[in-house]
Amino acid sequence: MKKIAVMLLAVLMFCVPCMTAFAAPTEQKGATISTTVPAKCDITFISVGGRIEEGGTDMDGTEEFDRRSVHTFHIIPDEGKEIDKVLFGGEDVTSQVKDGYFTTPALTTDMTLEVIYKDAGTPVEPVSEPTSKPDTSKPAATSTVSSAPVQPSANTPASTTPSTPSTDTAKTGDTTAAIVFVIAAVTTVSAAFIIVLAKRRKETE
Amino acid sequence: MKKLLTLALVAAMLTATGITAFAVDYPGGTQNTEITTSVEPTFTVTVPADTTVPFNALSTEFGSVKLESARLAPNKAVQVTVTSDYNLNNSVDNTAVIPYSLKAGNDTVDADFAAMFLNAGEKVDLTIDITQAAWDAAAAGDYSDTVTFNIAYVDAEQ
Repeated sequence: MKKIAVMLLAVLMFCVPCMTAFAAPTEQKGATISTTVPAKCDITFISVGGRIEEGGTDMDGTEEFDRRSVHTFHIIPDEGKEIDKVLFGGEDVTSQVKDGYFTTPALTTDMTLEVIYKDAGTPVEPVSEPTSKPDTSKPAATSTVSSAPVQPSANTPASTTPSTPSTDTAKTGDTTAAIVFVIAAVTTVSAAFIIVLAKRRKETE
Repeated sequence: MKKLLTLALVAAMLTATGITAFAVDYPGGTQNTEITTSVEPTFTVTVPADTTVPFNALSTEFGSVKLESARLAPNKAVQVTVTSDYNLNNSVDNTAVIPYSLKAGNDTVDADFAAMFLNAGEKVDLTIDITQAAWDAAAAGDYSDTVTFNIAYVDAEQ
């Protein structure tokens, strides 16, 4: 019985190589495409000549926000400055700024909020106190109060006109020349008085 | 019994190998003998590898479908078709998708697309296009999709 089984096996072994292997008519291969959408977006704030707040918190440098969130920022120019241009992601959105507030669209990617300021076009208030560094070279006539408004330098990028509001506007209260004039007059009168006294003493001697 | 088994084994071996020699005696004249052989078609096709699309990329190179080597029969070709739903599916929320398209040059790859290759070296470059609107509308998360390349040996006239 064993031998018969061995024989049959041998017969089968010879039959097997004769079978033709038929390849499948269609072969399939797969490739995976993947991507990741971040949960956060960054906004970089550029504001030279003022500051930007959200809910009373200063926005400075780069801040992180939830993707697809909407934010309202308060743009507050420094004294003597006003908003010239607002760029969000490089796009001019100045017309969308209402009363100093700008509301972003839903955030979908990293953005930059850049505010460009210009000198305010309002008349300059008279200054009663003298400046800390009086300019003595100016003639006395300049000590009178000037009512001419400071002309705004329109379309000047913020980066080239850093905020210096106090030095730009406070040139109207200079009284140094008048003081010098009074001192000179007092000195002259005193000198004359001393001379007169000296003459009288000589006469009495 | 042993002899019988041996005979049976020999008979089986001869049958199994299928080699049969027929010797025929002809009284005269000529007889043609046909020699036949068969060369099986062979070919190698490469398809794009797994690809990661950078966030916000509008067009990303996917790679090429290329007939690297081929020994095809006359009037035969290698056909490659693509199956996909053309949506990147969010790993968590299966309703959140990012639609994309595959481009072969300027042609859009869809259900009707079929690249036919006749000669080794022929290829089709593929790109993955995602619109900015699709990126903007996408919720945060990981997305993926599998593109299936169906490779078939077909008549060249197809």
